[in-house]
Amino acid sequence: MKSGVIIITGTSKGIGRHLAEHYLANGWIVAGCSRGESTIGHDNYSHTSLDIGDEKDVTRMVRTVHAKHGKVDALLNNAGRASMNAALLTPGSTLEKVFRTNTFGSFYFARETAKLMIRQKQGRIVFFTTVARPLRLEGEIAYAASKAAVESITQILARELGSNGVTVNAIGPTPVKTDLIRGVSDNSIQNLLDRQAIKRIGEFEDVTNVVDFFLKPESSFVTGQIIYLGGVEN
Amino acid sequence: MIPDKKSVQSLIEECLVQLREDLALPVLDKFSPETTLLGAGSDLDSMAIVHLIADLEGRLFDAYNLTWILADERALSRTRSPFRTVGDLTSFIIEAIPEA
Ligand SMILES: NC(=O)c1ccc[n+]([C@@H]2O[C@H](COP(=O)([O-])OP(=O)(O)OC[C@H]3O[C@@H](n4cnc5c(N)ncnc54)[C@H](OP(=O)(O)O)[C@@H]3O)[C@@H](O)[C@H]2O)c1
Repeated sequence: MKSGVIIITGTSKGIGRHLAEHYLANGWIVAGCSRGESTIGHDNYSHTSLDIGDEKDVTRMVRTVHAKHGKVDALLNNAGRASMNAALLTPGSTLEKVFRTNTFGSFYFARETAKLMIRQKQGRIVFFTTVARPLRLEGEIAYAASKAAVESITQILARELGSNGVTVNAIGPTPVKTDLIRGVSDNSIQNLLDRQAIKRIGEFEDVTNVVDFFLKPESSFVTGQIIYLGGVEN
Repeated sequence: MIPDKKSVQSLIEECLVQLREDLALPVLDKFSPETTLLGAGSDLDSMAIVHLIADLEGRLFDAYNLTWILADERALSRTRSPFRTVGDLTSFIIEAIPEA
């Protein structure tokens, strides 16, 4: 895989942190972010503390990374939050918070990096969705709906940017052991795994593998695709 | 550096020259505030305007270290588009100087 400059959101822990370490180990320059401080120490890593729902801060970060390195080759829109609640007990404020991060935040990053990528005539954007979306998971209405919007954004951006050498795809992981699902009971996780074709928990490497595929130079003809792990399909 | 009309206009000119070169469009024989960007009298399509705005935001950031988002609510709600001529765009950029 060719290395370059990559922006990864939500790198302080979980999948994002693993992705950052993976690409650093493969020679990439990584610009990460989270609301909190950096948890990664590496010469080729820089961190911005921001809330991805803040349009101005996101814009500033992307342009600063570009000014520093002269290019941005890839974006991994990983930062996200979950929310578990019965639909009838879900307050509007929860919906707003979840959409602000998962949908709006990812959109801001994609929009700003795409502006640079169309000038470069190349780039890779990867969004993060979830199997909760195609499984229409009960109890996750805000989370799944916010990711449904992410999937639409992925597919429309793919079309708008297709002639500019920029691909836009999404990965939908199954449950992976991170803080995101810490509050979910073992029983609920098992029920979810039972609905997968391959009934096991996802590992970081399962995610990295699909992201690697999207980033490969040879994947320049792959865009607008959503790959779910574990054999879940639409 | 404070963004003034003259320097902003020359950034727009740089973008326009580059864009026309990229799109293999004929070189402009005259560049002035009246130069049309969008709509009747312009040979740029909407995708070209997207490229122009993206490039311009980048150059504005490099020049002033400020983050303009040019296609904002204010720009889109106007009856006369701020992207119509070089003069309109220059005034809009000055008007919409972002806070540091
Ligand atoms: N783990 C799973 O089972 C699973 C399954 C399917 C899909 N996914 C998706 O995979 C992605 C990563 O999930 P994960 O499990 O790694 O989650 P995680 O362990 O909770 O980590 C989330 C990361 O995002 C950052 N973040 C959250 N909200 C933010 C905000 N508003 N602004 C900036 N940064 C923010 C967090 O840092 P701060 O808190 O410091 O901001 C953290 O670094 C998410 O998009 C998620 O939807 C995960």
